[in-house]
Amino acid sequence: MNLFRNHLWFYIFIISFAFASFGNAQEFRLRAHHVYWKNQEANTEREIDFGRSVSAKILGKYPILRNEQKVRYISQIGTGISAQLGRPELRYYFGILDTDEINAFAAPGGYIFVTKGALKLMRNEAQLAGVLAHELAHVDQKHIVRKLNLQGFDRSLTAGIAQVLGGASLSAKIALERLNDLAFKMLMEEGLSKEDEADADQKALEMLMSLGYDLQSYLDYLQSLKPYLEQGQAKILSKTHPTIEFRYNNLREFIIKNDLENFKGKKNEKRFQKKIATL
Amino acid sequence: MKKDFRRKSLLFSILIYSCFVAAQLKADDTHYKNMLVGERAATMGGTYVAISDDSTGCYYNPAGIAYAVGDSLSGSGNVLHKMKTVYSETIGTEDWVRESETLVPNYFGVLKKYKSYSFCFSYVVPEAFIEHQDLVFDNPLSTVKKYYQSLHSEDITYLIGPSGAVRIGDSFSIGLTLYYHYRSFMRQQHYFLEATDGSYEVFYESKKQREDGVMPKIGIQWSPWSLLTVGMALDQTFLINAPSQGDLSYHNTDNKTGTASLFTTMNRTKSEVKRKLPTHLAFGVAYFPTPSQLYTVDLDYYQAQEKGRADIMNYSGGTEYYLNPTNAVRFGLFTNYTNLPNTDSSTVAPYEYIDILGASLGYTSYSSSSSITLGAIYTYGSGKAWLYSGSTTSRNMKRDSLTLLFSASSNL
Amino acid sequence: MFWRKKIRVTLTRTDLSTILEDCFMRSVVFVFVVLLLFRKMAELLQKKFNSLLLRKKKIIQIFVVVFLLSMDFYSSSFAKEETHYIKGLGAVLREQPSIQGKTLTKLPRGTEVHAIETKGIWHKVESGEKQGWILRGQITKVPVKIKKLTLGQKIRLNSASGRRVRLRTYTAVVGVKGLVDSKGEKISPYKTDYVALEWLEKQPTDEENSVLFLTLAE
Repeated sequence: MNLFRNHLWFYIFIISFAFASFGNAQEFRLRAHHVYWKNQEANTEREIDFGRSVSAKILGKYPILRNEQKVRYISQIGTGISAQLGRPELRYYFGILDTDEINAFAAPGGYIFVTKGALKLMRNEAQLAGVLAHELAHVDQKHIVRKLNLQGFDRSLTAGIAQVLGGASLSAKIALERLNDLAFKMLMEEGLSKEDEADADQKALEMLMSLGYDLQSYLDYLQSLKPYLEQGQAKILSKTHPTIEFRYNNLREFIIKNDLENFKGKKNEKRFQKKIATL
Repeated sequence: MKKDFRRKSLLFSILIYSCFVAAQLKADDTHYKNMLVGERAATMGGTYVAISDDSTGCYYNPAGIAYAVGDSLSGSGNVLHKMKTVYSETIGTEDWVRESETLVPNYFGVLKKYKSYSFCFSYVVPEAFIEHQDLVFDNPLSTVKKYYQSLHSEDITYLIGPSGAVRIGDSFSIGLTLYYHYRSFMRQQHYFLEATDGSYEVFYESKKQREDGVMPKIGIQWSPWSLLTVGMALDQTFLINAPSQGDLSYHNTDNKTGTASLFTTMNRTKSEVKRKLPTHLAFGVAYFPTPSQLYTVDLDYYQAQEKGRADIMNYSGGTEYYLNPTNAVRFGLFTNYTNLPNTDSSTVAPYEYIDILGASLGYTSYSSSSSITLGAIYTYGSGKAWLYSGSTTSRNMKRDSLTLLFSASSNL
Repeated sequence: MFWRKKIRVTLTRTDLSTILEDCFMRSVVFVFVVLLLFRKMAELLQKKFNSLLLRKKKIIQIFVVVFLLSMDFYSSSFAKEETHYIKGLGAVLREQPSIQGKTLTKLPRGTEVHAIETKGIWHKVESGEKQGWILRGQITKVPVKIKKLTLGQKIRLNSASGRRVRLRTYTAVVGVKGLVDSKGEKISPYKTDYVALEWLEKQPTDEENSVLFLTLAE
């Protein structure tokens, strides 16, 4: 064979790299098992399982407030939001943590907690809806799950046999418990990335808008956190979230960009005060 | 006159016995699809040029790996390959049966995607042949009292190397694989013949050959319409060096005169036997109507580069069906034609003319990040063999093989 | 044939300049490679074809390439279909991409829609005959299914009362000691409380009522 022609193939190959395209292509190649796992039906079960154990750790740190009326109120607001804008395959649970700390947590699988301290700080229902919507957005966008790459973990028999035959190398060789600890640490110490938090704030505003709640209330709530960051009640919150300035500016930008300056929404102050009064 | 003829034919028989096993006993380089590679491809009859979208794709069409699903894949395959060849009425009135059995990991590959580029590293054993025989015949012919033959032969080819592919636009991709080709062949043969008149022959031969070469393979894949892909791949193996070594010793005594004949000393010969491997052009079409179904057809054209070999075209087709997202079955058919030219009345030994057809069946179990595959491939062929050195007499032959494969792959 | 389906989705999405740019780039490389491979193939098949055909080789080459290119161009100039599903209970289709926009109609959960345009946080979709704007948070690419029951609820539903007591004892123990392995060594340094979690999961939730509750003015 002509030596020159050999090299020609090679040159073509190298040049073709310059014309590379990006993005997904030829989705029709996906076979049934890709489609199934991509749609994450089985992944949702795993996510719920994982979220339960993270929630159990949260409840191990802060006691739960067993006041059925108050929990029912939070739950109604939260479920109402999730029914309209949450993931339809999940069932969301909303709980109150009996502590004066000011914070809110979201565990994968739809477990959302707000602290008594945070509720005491809020002035109206729009602020509560905003906080719940923010946490809901974390679950919706799977921020924790994605960060931990939870989907790589596979304990099935097939995977076990595959490992023996030498073909498998699982990415998350960390024991599930370690992964769980990591998630809990993320909630209590590191927090998520700035982008994820900004995304959750924006999505929260979207949800508030779609439900007819006042948007400025949520921003006011963020501002009201300021004095408590130094004092200590919102210490964990300040460690795990970006600065209030950053979040406030990000939200203002969002409001201006989407022409929502003059949006008038409800605050439901009276109802809120009535339900949360005795805290 | 009758007596004369009979004496001649008896002498002839002895010569036959002493020479027929000189036929080349190597792995079958007259066929190109003796062993199928890759869990998905092998269970679909080796039809993969238009699909090729996982770590096994590096061997069939490197362009396909640009469409691999998932960022990283790895796979390894093991096969148990049994082959049986029967030459009818070859040793007197007895059939000569040759069997080969190998258990080899015939595939390993790792694939990594980065944006729209894909890189792969794979190791393939496209040919593995291990044969061992110990034959004993008492009075196979009226002139032969005893015939012993012991034969051991191993011939394995390895390919190892990197691949790269890139997607250009949504429907086009191009890829390149560069394999290092290594082949190791060895054969030891010993036979002993005692004739009824007291004369005997002792023969010993040990042959060994090694091949080093490169096999570049370039491929393209194109999707003209949604749900359809077309692939083309071209490869050629170039041998860099191929040293061969043979040791031979032969001893013959004639009872009448009581003298030993020539070649009683061990004789070692060394040579360079660089065969010219064919150019292989593959063309395939695949249709993906639903995520559960897949149909594909391949054409493999081999252009011979050596004298005495013919150009051939192999056909194959396969289908894949998902019973549910965790279980899939596959079926395939393929041809494995001989690359030797057609025979005629002047054909002399050694020569084997046999066309083979094959069918494959497979089952895969999927979990979220791994899969295991079990498969079986059966081939059968019948033809003619010219076994007696210098003679144009042929015998009927048939060959069948069964390959069982079990392999695993996973997302990294 | 399958490309006919795509005609239904609007052509207006892509403008001419991007089509040309995209196709030109692809075509150049594609033509190059196909020409070379075709030449090689013609060479290989030389022995089978007669010389007459060889002369026409160039013409055939060009013809094939142009044909393939036209197919490529045709299939790439159409926008991809994107099927979405309504995931919200009270999804509203609006005339304009704004919360003040007039309500056209309400879409039930699970309805299949096709996304046509995007503007900020709004998507223009069409469902059957209707067309309008909807918030991006109210549609999803994942087909909508029924809600999943959590493991806690599964334990409650499937076990008999005797078994349930034992399970609760386990969770109580686990809750106090934190997770330990068979030797009593602590696996995780964090304490857990599954009893509290199960209490939470027992609390009633009702989607329709909650949505109504939200829309109630005080």
